[in-house]
Amino acid sequence: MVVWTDFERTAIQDIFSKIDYAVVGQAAFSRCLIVYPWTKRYFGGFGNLYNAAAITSNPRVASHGKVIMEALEKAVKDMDNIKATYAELSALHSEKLQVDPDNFMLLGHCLTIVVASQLGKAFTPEVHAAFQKFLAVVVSSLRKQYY
Amino acid sequence: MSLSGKDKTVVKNFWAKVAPKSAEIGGEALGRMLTAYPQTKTYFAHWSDLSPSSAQVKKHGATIMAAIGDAVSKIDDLTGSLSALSELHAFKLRVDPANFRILAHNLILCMGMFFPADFTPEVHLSVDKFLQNLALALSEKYR
Repeated sequence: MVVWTDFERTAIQDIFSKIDYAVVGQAAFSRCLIVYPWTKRYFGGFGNLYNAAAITSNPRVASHGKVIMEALEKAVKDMDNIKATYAELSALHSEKLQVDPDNFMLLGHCLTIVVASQLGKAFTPEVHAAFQKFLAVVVSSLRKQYY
Repeated sequence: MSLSGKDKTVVKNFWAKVAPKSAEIGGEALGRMLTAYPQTKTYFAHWSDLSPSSAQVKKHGATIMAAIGDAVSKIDDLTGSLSALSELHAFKLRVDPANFRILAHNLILCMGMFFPADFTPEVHLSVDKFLQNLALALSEKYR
């Protein structure tokens, strides 16, 4: 059972209330595809992902970035039941999409960097630690159905 | 994932911009690593204060960044130029090399925070590769 301190709960909810899902989602997801190009393997149907410029201007990348943020919001809205919230998504990623779960943290890293750039000084080390913990719980829940 | 000529140029150019804030970035990155990845604190049990505001943390962060900056200037031979530091980390400090990646992530995060306009995805890519190669050179003497 994950135990969240009041500070952690507030910090996570605060972050998600401040960020624009479309902007942050697009920035984080496109950054992931650019910095870790092997992650492109899962998005063969997304059209032109040939180089950074193509990825940055790709509309499917942008809309999928937003989809990811909206899925993360589900965890934020029910922080005590993240494992249950993501049971279906975990099965999807393992059985249908067949994503190597080590990739989840790569996206997590990019998301952290984008959020940090957006929030600036407000993203203190303590808030950063809370966000890191949140991502670790999300990734762990997404890994649950893999075997 | 070895460094191309382009990667080296990108890293050197970006480092020139980063240099004035180098000590600050190093101190902040180390402080964040110790806070967000508490398992890394095990390597610094001999310090009295492991908080981000600690003078010890800031000083050591600056030391680390200075060494990285030096590596940038010797980017064509990372293994050779980091030989002594590799021996230190392998035989004396015995830091699990997995932690190099964690610190690299925090350094990248701070660079992104301090230089949001300059730290584009392309720069991020080259810097990430550089830090990975640096970590490899640093773990050269381990076994």
